[in-house]
Amino acid sequence: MFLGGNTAKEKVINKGVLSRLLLISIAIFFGIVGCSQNANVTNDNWVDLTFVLTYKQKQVLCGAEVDLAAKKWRINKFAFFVSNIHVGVDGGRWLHVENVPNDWQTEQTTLINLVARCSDSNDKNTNATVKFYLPNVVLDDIVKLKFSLFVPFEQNHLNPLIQAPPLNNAEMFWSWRQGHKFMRVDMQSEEDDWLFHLGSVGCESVAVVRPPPAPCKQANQFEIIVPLHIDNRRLEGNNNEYGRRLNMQIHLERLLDNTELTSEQSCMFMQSQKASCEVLTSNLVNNRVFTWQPN
Amino acid sequence: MAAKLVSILTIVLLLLSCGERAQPYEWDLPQGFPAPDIPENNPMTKEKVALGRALFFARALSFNNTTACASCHLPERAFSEPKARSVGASGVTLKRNASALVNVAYAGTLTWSHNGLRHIEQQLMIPLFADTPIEMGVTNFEDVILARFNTADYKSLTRAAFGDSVLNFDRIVKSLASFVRSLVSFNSAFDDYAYRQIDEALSPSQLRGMELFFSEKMECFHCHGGFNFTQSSKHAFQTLTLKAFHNTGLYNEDGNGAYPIDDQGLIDVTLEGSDMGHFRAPTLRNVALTSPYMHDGSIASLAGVIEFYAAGGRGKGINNPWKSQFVKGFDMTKQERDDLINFLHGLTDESFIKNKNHHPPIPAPSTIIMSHN
Ligand code: HEC
Ligand code: HEC
Repeated sequence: MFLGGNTAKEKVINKGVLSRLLLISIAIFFGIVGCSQNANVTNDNWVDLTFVLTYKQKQVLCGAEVDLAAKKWRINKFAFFVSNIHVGVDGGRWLHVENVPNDWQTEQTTLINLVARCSDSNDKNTNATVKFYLPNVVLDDIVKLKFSLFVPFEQNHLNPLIQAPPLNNAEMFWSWRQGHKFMRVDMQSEEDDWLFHLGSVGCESVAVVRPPPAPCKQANQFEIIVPLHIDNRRLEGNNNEYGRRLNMQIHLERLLDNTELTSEQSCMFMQSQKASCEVLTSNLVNNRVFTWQPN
Repeated sequence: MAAKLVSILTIVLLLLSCGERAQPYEWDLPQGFPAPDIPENNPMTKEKVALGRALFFARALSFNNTTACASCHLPERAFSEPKARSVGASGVTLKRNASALVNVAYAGTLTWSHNGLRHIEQQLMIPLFADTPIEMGVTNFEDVILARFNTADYKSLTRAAFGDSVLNFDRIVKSLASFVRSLVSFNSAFDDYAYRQIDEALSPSQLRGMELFFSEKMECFHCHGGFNFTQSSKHAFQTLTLKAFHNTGLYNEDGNGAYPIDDQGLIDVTLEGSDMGHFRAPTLRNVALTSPYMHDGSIASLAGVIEFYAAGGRGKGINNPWKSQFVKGFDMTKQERDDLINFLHGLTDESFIKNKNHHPPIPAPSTIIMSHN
């Protein structure tokens, strides 16, 4: 290794090489800074996990109305946090993955915002995709995927104003004490509205604007495990020059099973809403709300 | 040699492209606070804010030289006024109480109840140009008014802000909007407690009041949430919240929920029945300074407002069918009432009120007709 040389002559040579290296690395540095958007894309080992909101198999687009209980409902907001993604491989091992940080995700946590302000179809306000690095595995070995619908406790209760995006989104925040809304669904019909705001409750701190020192009694952190059936194990099939793409379907009707869409039956984890919250959270985990969507 | 030439050229080009003289405005925000979203066609500059400040306090901006923006928006009252409803330049009473101008730069929508007014530039056309009722009555007096500002002082302010000395209403509106945006308030005792982590900043009574404010029992934070104590707020990288307008049960004229016919809130804009009596939950920053309260100034004191919420509305309004589910009434002790009032006082920002830049420039830049002062 010439850089490790220690004779006088070698040192002289090394100086020349070093300064050239320096120039090159400066050039590369500016090259990267110049198009920082694409800096990570050169690593082809990443996956786009895209969420698609559907109602009875039809995709719900921004501003679309769905017929529910003989009424038209507009979905004003459908957003949630995704953290701790793991891929499961044959033999039962879980491998932890890391995100490609951007405006919608930190290394661990992504904000999926499928329906935002519809009136001005501003793409800046929606995000359907988690982009993560694929760990070192043979794709064919991956048999399932899991993720959690929450913001990790350590970040959940920090001042949202000075956190990095997406954790500074006030629409997804309750208070320091209670932290973020892990999931937020806002629906509206002509006469009524219905809300589902999932987050931690039973959090104790000296003041609402101070974080709790210990985890909340009812953390409401739900883990979703989605098996990857052989016929839609498409990781490799969709491999293209930009990376790999997986579609995860969200079945709205399964989330709403056995609930009544009225403002009284909303769930924001208040005392009076215990029953509707139990139904919703149970649906969320047990009712196959998330499934793979064959491409 | 060639490389040197290139770099010199680059520097020259850079200098040329950044050649505008106006200086970007420096926000006076606590560390880490997000700056507001500013419209691309009206970037903030110190010079525009300075011109806007002068204009804000200038009565010459009204048709009859009687009324400045500051006539209804008084700095010492966090830019609101003690009248229940404002009175325009021609003496006609408006239907509403003058809004406080506090962190308006962050407002998702403007005025007491309009879902389409998103930019201060748009909103300012109303006080300036509206004729039913007249606020400043500029319409048909544009040239007369502009002539009053044809002075050395205003020419130099205009030149600094826009590069030449020609003042017109587009520039007036842009400067006034910039001044209004500069009115940011983040130095209350609450901010010291919440954002600067100073434990002694709030008294024990205020701390109890804060718990009540955020409690399920009182529900205040549902509508007055977020860093501005209003749902209607945004900054860069944020979307609007869904329900920033609410019916709080102030009125019920006909038993079917009607508000008084001269001001029924959002319904007057959207014509949608369910918007009856819907008004924006205003920011509560500096609220102790902005009495009387509500869109028509119909509640005199903070104690009155809290009694109103405790009753779940006012009179027949309690049964208003459009009333929000979050105004359901609650029992409270006198101690609790006082704690909540004390907490609301903790949202007062003395430095905002005392800030010299929020008061008229001294000496006032001259206008041509000064006699009506
Ligand atoms: C005659 C009194 C009067 C004058 C003069 C007046 N305003 Fe107002 N202002 C009001 C009232 C009343 C409202 C509430 C209007 C509504 O809700 O419809 C208001 C609302 C506003 C708002 C909206 C604030 C918010 O949070 O939504 C802004 C900004 C504003 N005024 C700025 C100005 C400026 C700048 C001027 C001078 C060009 C001005 N006003 C002149 C009475 C006045
Ligand atoms: C349903 C939403 C909602 C809830 C809950 C709510 N407010 Fe309001 N608040 C509003 C709206 C809307 C207005 C303006 C109403 C109007 O003018 O018609 C308002 C006005 C006020 C005002 C007057 C502000 C001004 O500048 O005139 C104060 C003070 C206030 N609220 C304090 C509180 C407190 C304290 C609580 C809790 C006890 C509370 N609010 C609960 C929506 C709400």
